[in-house]
Amino acid sequence: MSDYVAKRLLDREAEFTEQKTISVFVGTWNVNGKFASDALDTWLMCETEPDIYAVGFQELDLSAEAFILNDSTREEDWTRAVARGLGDRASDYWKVVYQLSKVVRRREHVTIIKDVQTDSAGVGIMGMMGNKGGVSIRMRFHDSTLCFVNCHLAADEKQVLRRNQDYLEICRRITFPINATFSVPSSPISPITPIPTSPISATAPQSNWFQNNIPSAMTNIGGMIGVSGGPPSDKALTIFDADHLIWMGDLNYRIDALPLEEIKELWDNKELDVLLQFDQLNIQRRNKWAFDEFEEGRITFPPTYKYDIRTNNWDSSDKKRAPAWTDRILWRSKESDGIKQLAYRSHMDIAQSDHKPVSAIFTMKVKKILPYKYKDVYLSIVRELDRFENDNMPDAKVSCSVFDYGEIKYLGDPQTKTVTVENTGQVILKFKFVPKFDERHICKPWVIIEPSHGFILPGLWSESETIKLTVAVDNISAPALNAGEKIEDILILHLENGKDFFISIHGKYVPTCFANNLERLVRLPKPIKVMHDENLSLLPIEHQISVPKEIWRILDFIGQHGLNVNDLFTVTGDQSLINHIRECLDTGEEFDLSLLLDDKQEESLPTPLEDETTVKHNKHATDLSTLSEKPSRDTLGSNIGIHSMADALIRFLESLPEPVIPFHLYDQCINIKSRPAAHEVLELIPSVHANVFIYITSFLREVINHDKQKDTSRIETLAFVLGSVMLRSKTSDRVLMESHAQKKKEFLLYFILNDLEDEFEDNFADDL
Amino acid sequence: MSNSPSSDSISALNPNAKTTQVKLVLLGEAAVGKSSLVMRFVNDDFQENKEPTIGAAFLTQKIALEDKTIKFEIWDTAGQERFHSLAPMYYRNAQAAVVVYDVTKAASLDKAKSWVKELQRQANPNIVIALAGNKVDLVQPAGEGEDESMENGRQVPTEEAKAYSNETGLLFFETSAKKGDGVRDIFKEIAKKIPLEHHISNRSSTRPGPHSQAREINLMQQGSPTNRDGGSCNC
Repeated sequence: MSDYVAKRLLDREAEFTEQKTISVFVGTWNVNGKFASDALDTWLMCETEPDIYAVGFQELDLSAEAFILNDSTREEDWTRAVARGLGDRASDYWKVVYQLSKVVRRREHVTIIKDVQTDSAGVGIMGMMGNKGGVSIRMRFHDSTLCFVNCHLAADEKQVLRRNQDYLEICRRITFPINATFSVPSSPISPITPIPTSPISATAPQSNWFQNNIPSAMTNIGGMIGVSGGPPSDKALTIFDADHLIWMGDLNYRIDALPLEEIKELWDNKELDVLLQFDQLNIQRRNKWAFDEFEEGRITFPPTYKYDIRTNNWDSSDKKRAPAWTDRILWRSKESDGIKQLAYRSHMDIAQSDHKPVSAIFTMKVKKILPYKYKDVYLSIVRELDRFENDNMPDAKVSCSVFDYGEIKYLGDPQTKTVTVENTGQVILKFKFVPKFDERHICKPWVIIEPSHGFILPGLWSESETIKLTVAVDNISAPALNAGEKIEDILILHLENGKDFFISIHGKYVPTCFANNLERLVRLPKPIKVMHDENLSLLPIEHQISVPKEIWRILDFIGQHGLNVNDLFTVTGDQSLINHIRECLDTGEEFDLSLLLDDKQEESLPTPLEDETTVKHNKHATDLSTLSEKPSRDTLGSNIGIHSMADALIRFLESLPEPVIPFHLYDQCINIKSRPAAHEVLELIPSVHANVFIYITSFLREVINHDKQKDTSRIETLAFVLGSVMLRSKTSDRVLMESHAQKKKEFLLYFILNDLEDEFEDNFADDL
Repeated sequence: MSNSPSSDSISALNPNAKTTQVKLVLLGEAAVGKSSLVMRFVNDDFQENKEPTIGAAFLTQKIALEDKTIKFEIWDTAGQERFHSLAPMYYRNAQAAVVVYDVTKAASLDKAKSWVKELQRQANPNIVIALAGNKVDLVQPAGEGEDESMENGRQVPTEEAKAYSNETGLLFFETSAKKGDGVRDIFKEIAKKIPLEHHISNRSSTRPGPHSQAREINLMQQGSPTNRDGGSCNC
């Protein structure tokens, strides 16, 4: 957010800033290690009082100790001299003294107006032992940033390259931490909180002038806003990250390749242009070797170096230094006309050093933020950002939010409806269905969503995705529905980073006796469908019956009509007949004997042609209300009704959510090795389950009893088939299941074979 | 009536000012104007005969206060009763809730009260709840000197809802999403009441969306408190 807002603020800066012009005095002087003695009035004098005095000294202290000691005496001395020079006006200014630190041990220092941040860089031998370098102060004036650099570069006529290098070093090494209010380097517009104008009272500035080592501001009282440095961050600003940059100091560039006498002669003859052509700094700047980013006003004053002390005479010592414009003031502004130089001169009357002081007077354009306009712009940018964010949120149109699936049947054909999601937003739309609060699945087990996630392109490619919502009830999902849960779900279609759509699904479930808990079935007051239709409650436990009536009806039917049928429980039934059987069990209606029994009514059955259609399109197989849909036993083989009834039992047992032998006893049962142990296990089985188990196994005994051939392989087959549905494991490991098949059969045989042997014996006894 | 923010203060209006994200949920009976309040707040716009929200709309909006900027992440939920059970997804982790009723429908206040109860029982214990009586534009003002109860069309007296809000510790507003009255005030007062420390300490556990974790933006890394003591002078 902050980057965007900062950028937009910069774009619209003109709307909320007003421009002010300030005047700035800049002075530089190499004092040659002297204590202040001359009056500085003429140097510091301005026609109009400047808003800022920026004064830079070089060579405050030439003594060797200055390298080691942190002696502030000379700074104080010169600071006092500046104060004296300002005279009465001194009380109108606050000062900041940037003192050279022990670490860097520079001798330059700057007396300047208003403090923000300071830094320095030594550029002597090893970057620390020399006495050359630069110091800098960066500040904000209103809402523009000003930066002043005071430097002392390498001496000696021949050391041009050294000086160029010093310059680059200072540029590189002086940095300022970015604090909260300066986060955008190029932006001076970060709003700031005005500090009360006068923490130090204007009436007593003198006393503050000499507080040791405390940086404070020296400025016109009023209108100044000071912001101090916050904690440093990784990034740093350079001296160039300012609206206006002033560079002053003893740059030490000389007049190149001209003999001393010629220089003096050219000066005396007012051949200024010729001399300036040979000025090393001008040569460097022309060739872009150093200071090429800066501007400098035209020099009209005589070279400021080197004079005999206390005179205006060129150096008469043995060294006979050639005159040079060593002391310079340059500037650089972000705006093309941000700085105007009003004066650039030297001060010949101040003669205590071998350099003459130089001064320049500038006007600078500074920006001032108008708080109310700023606020309007800021808030409008925030609103812009909000709008942008909201516009870039994904959006979609969903074709339908309510789906009615009508009647839903157990194991009926899957019902599919589609919902179309259209990308109406401006970004790629990623969608996914998500689970409801505190749920793990995105939908009920009887719903299938395809696809449940995906993406849709925006704009020109604007696509839509068709999502299939399929409802189908199987053995997994049926128990809850049979127990009364409704076909009702709300799907949550979530757009990534955006809104949610709710899609409601409902239908009317037709309950069935399949896929119910046995405990529930024995408490049905009426067949399950009737119970639901009439809204009846379950019987109280004390009135429950011993085995579900549905099992009794199936076995009773087989007992009446099918005990003589071969291969009972081993021939697959017909699906439509099984559906009919289930329907009768659900509704309590009588089984249609004409369908289920091979009898004389065959002639009344529909023609094979129609039947084929019916068989192929099994869709309506469950609905046997019309005769035309009844299957023909001609195509299905003999006794198919009985086989279907037996198959119905198998499927019924398979559909039980808790098998006849409950899951938790499964492992125990399959590992039983004796008949007594098998019978003991029966004690552990819940009573309804035990009843059903005993009921079915005794029925199997009866089936075997009717088998004239007493075929043992047939007995084993029965035990195998019924064992596999009454003993079920939760695991789906196929290999394991195969190895268990034999064990299940054996468990069942303990109940049907041993009893059977007894009966055989009985039978033999009867025969005898 | 526009929602000019010009009455907001300036001092936090800084690209680096702290921005705190606040998950806000709107709850209330169907057709009381939840989506319209959001639309007024976010777009300063109103739409007659809006379709019911079937789902949960999501929008963001910032509000600048003197000492902080609050970014509301607004979940505008479906009001229909059949979606009631889905509401916890949206008020879970919410730091603020606006419970809306319709001043011209007494029953809608009962529903609002039940939402308040549910929030106080199941939502974040520090949640800031505002009660908003919407559609005041439908109420014809009482004549000169007449009792407020003479207002035409009003079924929920202001005093009743206000008293309930005081008892229950809710912020209370009467609003017109249609005209804009009171809408911005709700969000502004909520923003003021959001405890900053609590919010910061909960940042890591707060999921702005009910499902996504991706929307977490860390604005806190930027902007450090300004140190106003002295410069970096190391004398």
